[in-house]
Amino acid sequence: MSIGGSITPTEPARHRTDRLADAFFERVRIRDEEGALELIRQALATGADHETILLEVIALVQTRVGVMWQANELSVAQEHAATHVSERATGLVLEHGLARIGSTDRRGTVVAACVEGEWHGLPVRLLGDVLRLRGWRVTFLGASVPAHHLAVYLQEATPDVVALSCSLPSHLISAHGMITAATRTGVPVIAGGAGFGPDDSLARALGATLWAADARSAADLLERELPLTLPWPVEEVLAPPAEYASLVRRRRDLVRSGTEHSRRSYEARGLRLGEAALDRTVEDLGHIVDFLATALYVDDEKVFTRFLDWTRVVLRTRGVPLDSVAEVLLFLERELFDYPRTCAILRSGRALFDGVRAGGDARGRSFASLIRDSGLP
Amino acid sequence: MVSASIISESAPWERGGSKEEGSLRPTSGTNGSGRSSVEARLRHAAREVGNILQPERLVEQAVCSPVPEVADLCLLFLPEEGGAVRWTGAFTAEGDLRRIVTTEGVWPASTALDVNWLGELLDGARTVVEPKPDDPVEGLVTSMVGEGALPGALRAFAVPGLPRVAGALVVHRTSGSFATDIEALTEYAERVGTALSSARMYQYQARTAATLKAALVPEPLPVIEHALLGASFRSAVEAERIGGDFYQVNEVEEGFDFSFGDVCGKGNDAALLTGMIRQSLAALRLVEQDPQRLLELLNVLLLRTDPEKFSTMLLGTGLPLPGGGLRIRMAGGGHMPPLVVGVDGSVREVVVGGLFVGALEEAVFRTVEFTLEPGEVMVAYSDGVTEARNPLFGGQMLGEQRLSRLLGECGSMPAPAICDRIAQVVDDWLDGGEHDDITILAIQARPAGEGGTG
Repeated sequence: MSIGGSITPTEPARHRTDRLADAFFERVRIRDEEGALELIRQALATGADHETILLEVIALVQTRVGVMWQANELSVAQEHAATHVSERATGLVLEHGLARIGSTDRRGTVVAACVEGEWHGLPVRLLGDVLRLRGWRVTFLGASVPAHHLAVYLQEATPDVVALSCSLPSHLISAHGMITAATRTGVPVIAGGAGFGPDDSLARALGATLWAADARSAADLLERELPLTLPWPVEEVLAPPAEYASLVRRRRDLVRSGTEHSRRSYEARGLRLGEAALDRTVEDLGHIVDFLATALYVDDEKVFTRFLDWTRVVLRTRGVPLDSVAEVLLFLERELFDYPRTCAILRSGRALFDGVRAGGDARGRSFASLIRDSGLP
Repeated sequence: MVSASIISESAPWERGGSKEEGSLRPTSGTNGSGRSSVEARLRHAAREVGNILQPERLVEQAVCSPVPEVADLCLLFLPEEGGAVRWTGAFTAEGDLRRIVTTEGVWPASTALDVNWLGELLDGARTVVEPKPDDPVEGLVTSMVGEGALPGALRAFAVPGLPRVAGALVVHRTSGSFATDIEALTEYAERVGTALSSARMYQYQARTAATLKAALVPEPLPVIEHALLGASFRSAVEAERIGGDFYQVNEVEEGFDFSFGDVCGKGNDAALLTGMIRQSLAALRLVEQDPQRLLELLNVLLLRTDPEKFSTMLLGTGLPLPGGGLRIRMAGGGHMPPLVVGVDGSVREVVVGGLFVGALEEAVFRTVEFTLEPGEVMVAYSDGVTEARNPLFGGQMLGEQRLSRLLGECGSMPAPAICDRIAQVVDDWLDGGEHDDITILAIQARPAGEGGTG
């Protein structure tokens, strides 16, 4: 019961957030940068919660952009432009929030980084901003940080924890290198991002100290668990199988002979692969072999099949013939006939492409570049 | 659904193997006697400590590692200037053997002077000492693990440094003795000393290198009224490949000026030259704004400094046009022509020509002028971009053609996003291979109807 009948019932916060997310998304979609930022400014001015804007408006909008991209409803340029607006919006929220908390409440120091090869910097930046707003000191090393840079950085700095983000499973091997680099020098690692999959099993296998599904639970977890002492595993966590080592050694040869194979099969059909198409073939082969190697490395064939399943959707929405992928898988299976585990994974992958129609021509884009752009599988 | 977790329930730092048996055995140890497991644990601890080059973390690690398998409490004493001694201790948390607690403090010089065993160790007179009852160290022991812990077994070991003794390692066991472990502990203290010396030397080197590195890393771009700026800078990993790419944009009264370049040479020499060019430019701009004239002056200046040292360069100014868009005046010396990307994705080269700056006395430079329409963006890049090699292609370079093709997909993207995109594609192209500095600067005329602030 409200006192004084004129007071309107307050709109539930949930609805307000959803409405803001919808409005912000719409501004981003039509590329009205200033309009989008103005919405965030207004929300801040009317006391909206900083963390909510970061994680339930900006992050959500980025997810929607990714989904639209997968459905071929956004171009790469639009997607990049959207990310740019989101980054600026994040900057506004951070600035506004930091002005409030002052600089007295210091919890600890976090170094945030994307694994090498990983260019989706926004998720880990959002985590960094959430932590900053909760009083942590955060150093953002950037997107695609070479393990070597991280190792050198950690020998000179004294963070409490490294927050490592990996959106694409094909970067898990890099992630392992970085986790090792950090834990060997005595710094615990909190791992997160879609690349680690839906639970902590992969992060665990790769030697991470902590894992979180999203930015908010990561921040909660760090608050609860730090300071961690002696985080690193005493023994080697993961021993990749012998097939993995051979596959990695053969990677370049496989890509080279695979490209040659594609070129010949195009020529046999009276077609020619131009330079751009050749680039795409090399890129795609590299990507397939990388996912295959990762699946072997972490001993989880789902890493490979999830990737191919996602690829199928992306290619289909773009009208790209799927038989080229099936053909590549078959080629790899023949080349790697004496690698039983690898062949089993390849066969599971190929099963996804059963019955796709044959034919097709040089594709407009490589699916590797499609994956890179969306960061989704 | 589990949304967050501490990885591994038998947490890695819980080194005790089997809780059921109530015993704490190192996982890396043998199943045999306690003695061999202590040795194994200390060997492992020494390896762990040896991986760390950051002194504070190293000290913490050195005291944590032997707890609880080797000792219930471990302390490291390191003398500071003026005779005071800093101590760091580690012990298991009460009731939770998984958690190791560290604590630290300082003994003032007056206290430290009275501690005989410490003096003997630091002077190098002895390598192992058993502190006598009522020694000040007992106060530390009881403050950490309680009154009941005394007397127990207590030993202090010299931690050798370069050249003098660096400190002392003290271990305490509430029950039992150290009789059979003295040798292993002495060796551990030696290993800690070696690691500490290396770490201190490394920090000294790193601080020296940091000064040079600071000169190499471009300052963040300003937010300016008339243009949207983007940049990407990725320095080479190997020190000998770090070059002197540089860029800068300054807002001036009516518009802005910019510079972009790549000095000859690598490593420290390049860093010094970059610093010099930056400062010279800043000074020259106080009296001269014309890009071509600036190049001529820099040419003379660099020739006088050292004729062997030169740089490629693009210098320019941008002025806003009344109806939107920017007027760019630019002069170049030996740099790859920047590319202009139209809103529709068309890509054109801006040929500026000119010779390397600082290579020839009679070098001739010229000025080009052109307009960036609203939304159009000029992209300047260093040769690390086009000369990135793809190992899958037998080392083929990315090349200008691929770069143009890529930029063709970037029409109407914001300048910072374009730079991110190029950096991303170059990184993929490199496929983990080595590279030189990769530097990109993008200057974009603000799209129609967009304000400059925000």
